Amino acid sequence: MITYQVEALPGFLEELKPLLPIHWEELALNKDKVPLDPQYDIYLSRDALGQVISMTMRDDGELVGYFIGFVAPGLHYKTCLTCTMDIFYVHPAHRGSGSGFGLFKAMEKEIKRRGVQRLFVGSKLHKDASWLFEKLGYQEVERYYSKWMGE
Amino acid sequence: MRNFYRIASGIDIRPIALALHKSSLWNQYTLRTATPGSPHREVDDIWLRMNDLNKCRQAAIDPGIYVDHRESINYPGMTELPVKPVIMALMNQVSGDRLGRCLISRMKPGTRILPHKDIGDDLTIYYDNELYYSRYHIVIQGLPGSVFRSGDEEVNMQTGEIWWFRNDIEHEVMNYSADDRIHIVCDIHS
Repeated sequence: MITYQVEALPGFLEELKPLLPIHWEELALNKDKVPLDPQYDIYLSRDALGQVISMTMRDDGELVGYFIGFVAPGLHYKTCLTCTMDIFYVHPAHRGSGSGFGLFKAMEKEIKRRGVQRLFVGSKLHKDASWLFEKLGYQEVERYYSKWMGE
Repeated sequence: MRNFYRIASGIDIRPIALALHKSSLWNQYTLRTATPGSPHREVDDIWLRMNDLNKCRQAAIDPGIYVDHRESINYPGMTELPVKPVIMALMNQVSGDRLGRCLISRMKPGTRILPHKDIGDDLTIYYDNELYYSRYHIVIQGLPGSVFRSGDEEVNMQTGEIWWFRNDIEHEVMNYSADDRIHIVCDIHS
């Protein structure tokens, strides 16, 4: 049975680590030049400041998806508590059954409870999830570009 | 740090926290929170000690009645909630000789107390016209992300701590933590 729950990042970080390479393989840019190397200490220090929201998706207890975002007043808008998505992922074996939709609905319920006023989410174009955002009523507000500048 | 001072930590506040979960005393008195323009309009209150409102009302129509604006009386929360031991211990710790207003303040996640100060000449606006009482906070629930600013200093007051802070200068609160911020606010003259 699929369940969605708020979990503190330190409590499931070790379960998360094996999923990150799969996530990276499927979604990362410039993989031949930029290895996966998360700065876990920064995530944990932000979590200790109360600035991380983490939602897990489990199938009979096994971690199969997650949403991680940062919660803070907007840098340009101090009075607007804002959640900015960092990553979200649903294991390929669990797609197509509405579980991503369920994960986002659970996340929205939690950030509403936390008093967040504005939420920003996004997805890579080569693995476009805009259908999900549009289904959930989000508006497209920005286009984001990347250019490799290294050697 | 000059505007805040942590007096104690590790206080066992669980009996109070449990009683507050069950309490029906929230927002029985809303003078502080429902007044138009109040910086505390996003806050829930339980009054423990406050001015005698009946006497204040009588004084408003009878100039012969004197009201000491610093005098407070007990409200039902003071006896119905298990707050006396921690308040009296604090009185003892700071050599207090007079207990002023006391209330319990609860802020939902994402809410704010807007910037304001408590001391000023106009007693219809300000809490007092001089710094007679010192202001203490006993933290019943305080989680990371609950930010308290006084002047140019900020602290995160955590569950089980007691703090003094300067309320005569501009201060504000932002509860950006994952749960309610619940403080007992006490004024003590020493």
